[in-house]
Amino acid sequence: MGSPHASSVEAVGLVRRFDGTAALDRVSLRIPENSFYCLLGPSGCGKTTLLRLIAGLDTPDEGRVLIGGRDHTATPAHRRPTNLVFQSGALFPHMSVRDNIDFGLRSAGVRGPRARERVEESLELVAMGEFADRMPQTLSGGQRQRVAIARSLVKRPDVLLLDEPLSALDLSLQLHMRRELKRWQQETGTTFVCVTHNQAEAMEMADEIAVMRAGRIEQAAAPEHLYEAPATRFVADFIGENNVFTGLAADRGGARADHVFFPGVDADLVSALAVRPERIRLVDPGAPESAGTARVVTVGFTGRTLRIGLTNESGRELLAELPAGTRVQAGDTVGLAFDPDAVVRIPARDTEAAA
Amino acid sequence: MRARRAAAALIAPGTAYLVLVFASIIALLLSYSARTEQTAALVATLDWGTWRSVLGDGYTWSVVGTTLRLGVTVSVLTVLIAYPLAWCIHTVRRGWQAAALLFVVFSPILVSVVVRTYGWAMLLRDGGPLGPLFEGWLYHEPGVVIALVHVELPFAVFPILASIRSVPADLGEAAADLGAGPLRRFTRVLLPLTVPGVLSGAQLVFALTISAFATPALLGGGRVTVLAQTIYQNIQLLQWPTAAAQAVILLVLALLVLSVFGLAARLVGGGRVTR
Repeated sequence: MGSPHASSVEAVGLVRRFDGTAALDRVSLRIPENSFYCLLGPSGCGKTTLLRLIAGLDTPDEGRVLIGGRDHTATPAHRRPTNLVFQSGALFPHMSVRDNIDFGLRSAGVRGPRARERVEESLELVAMGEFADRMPQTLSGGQRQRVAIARSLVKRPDVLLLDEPLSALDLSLQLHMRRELKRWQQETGTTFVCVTHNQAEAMEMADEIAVMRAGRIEQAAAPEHLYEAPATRFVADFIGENNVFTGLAADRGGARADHVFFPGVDADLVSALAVRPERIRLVDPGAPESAGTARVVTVGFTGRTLRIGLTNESGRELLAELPAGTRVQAGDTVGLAFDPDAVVRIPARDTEAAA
Repeated sequence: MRARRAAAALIAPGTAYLVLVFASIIALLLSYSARTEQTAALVATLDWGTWRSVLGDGYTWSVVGTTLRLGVTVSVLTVLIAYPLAWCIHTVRRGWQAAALLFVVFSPILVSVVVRTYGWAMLLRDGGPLGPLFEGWLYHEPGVVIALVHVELPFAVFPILASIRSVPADLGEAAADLGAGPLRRFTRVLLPLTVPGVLSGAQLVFALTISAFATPALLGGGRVTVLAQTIYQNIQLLQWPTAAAQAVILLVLALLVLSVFGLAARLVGGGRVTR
């Protein structure tokens, strides 16, 4: 709507303190228009605080919030071009589904047939048309969440903010709703900003993810990029499964950690190395390509792959994922091998790596 | 079965007390009101003479009118004052500030009714600190109203505060987020969800007001006569049957109004937060 950048969001040096501790510590971030953006991190990382600052439900101690290029830092929530879907849904218990959805339109002065049309339209979008006259208490958790999303989308916000929208749902419904959310984002052409602690959820839905920890953004990038090239040890650990090696020591043209040898790695330039489970191959312990030996402890079948739990002579536990049908069993002693490009170098500037 | 028996054992003392004291007094009142002469006999032959003279007396109805008017005025005013007060206590961040506010609201109950009432008399009298502002209020109905509102405020604040606290904070935030300004958030979300608290506060205040005796007697200056006073006067005159009939009228009035409130609460019951 309006300018081509109407639905972009920009945070500039946001600081928010609660009782002296910074929940957000100088966070800057640019969310592109019409994108599905996820704020991902463990609980207490500041992701919900950031979302509330964008929504206008809280005011920053420092910094600015720009929506569509305009400074909205001082705009109260009810005048912002954003709408928030609360974790609980926050449906009004004394209103029917239809009245809940109509509430925002009435607040904006939209009434009559046009309002009715828009209510029906958003009910159809979330496939809740037949529940229009029900009271929220009579709906299931998933249905309530759909209504909450419809109630926000009916306002046609420039930016839709979602606070852990799927966390209250059971797993199969979560998986379904991930695709639904993605579809609604594409159909409405609205910018979605979604807070979640579930990295699989963020990976599946987002065009871009900001990984947060302790009030700061660790790395903001596309899911593939976060997966292939984590910038910090935290991101390497948090996004997907990983084998992270620290305590590197220089050793004959490479580096060694936990009895695993990484040729061509300069131990002074990196703070940690990471190898994805699916990039590890199991070879004969004596093979020249073997970077170290380990004993197979567990073999788990997941359908397409086998998940192999390994322990090596330093007691280090490792995870490998191999195609189903690989002949391996618990008790085997194997060699670990991986291509040079499978080793992700985490730069030494990541001071947190020592922690 | 055992749980049932335990429950019965737990409510037994309360039930026994109520049956003995409350029910027997009601029975006695009914029995006394149905005779014209005071006799020591617990059961006498039915005689509707007292009822006929009480109900046929215009004075009774004017007293009933005053009692009801006082009840309605005081409950409406008390709720109007109590609601914003409860909201303030709810929104105060620091614990000690909320505790201080609650103490102030509670304070009238901690002071003896006689002290409190004479305090009001001193404030409102000619030459008193509030005398010029509330000229002519003392020993008239407004003086009685202002003093009753004062003492009954906590009985309205508590139910309203409890119902405000039961409304999840995110509902107000959701309303704001959907574009509702402060007024609309109050009228469309907070108020409908706290009607049960408002009703039970008003109910309590009303019941207390129509049975109040000391405050109207001391601050009414003989001009504000309520049922509780005529009952007292008739007992002083040893007119037990008349006093009993008036007490029954007071009881019926209270029950009638309380059941109206109960009905209203049922009608808005859909607004109750069930999460």
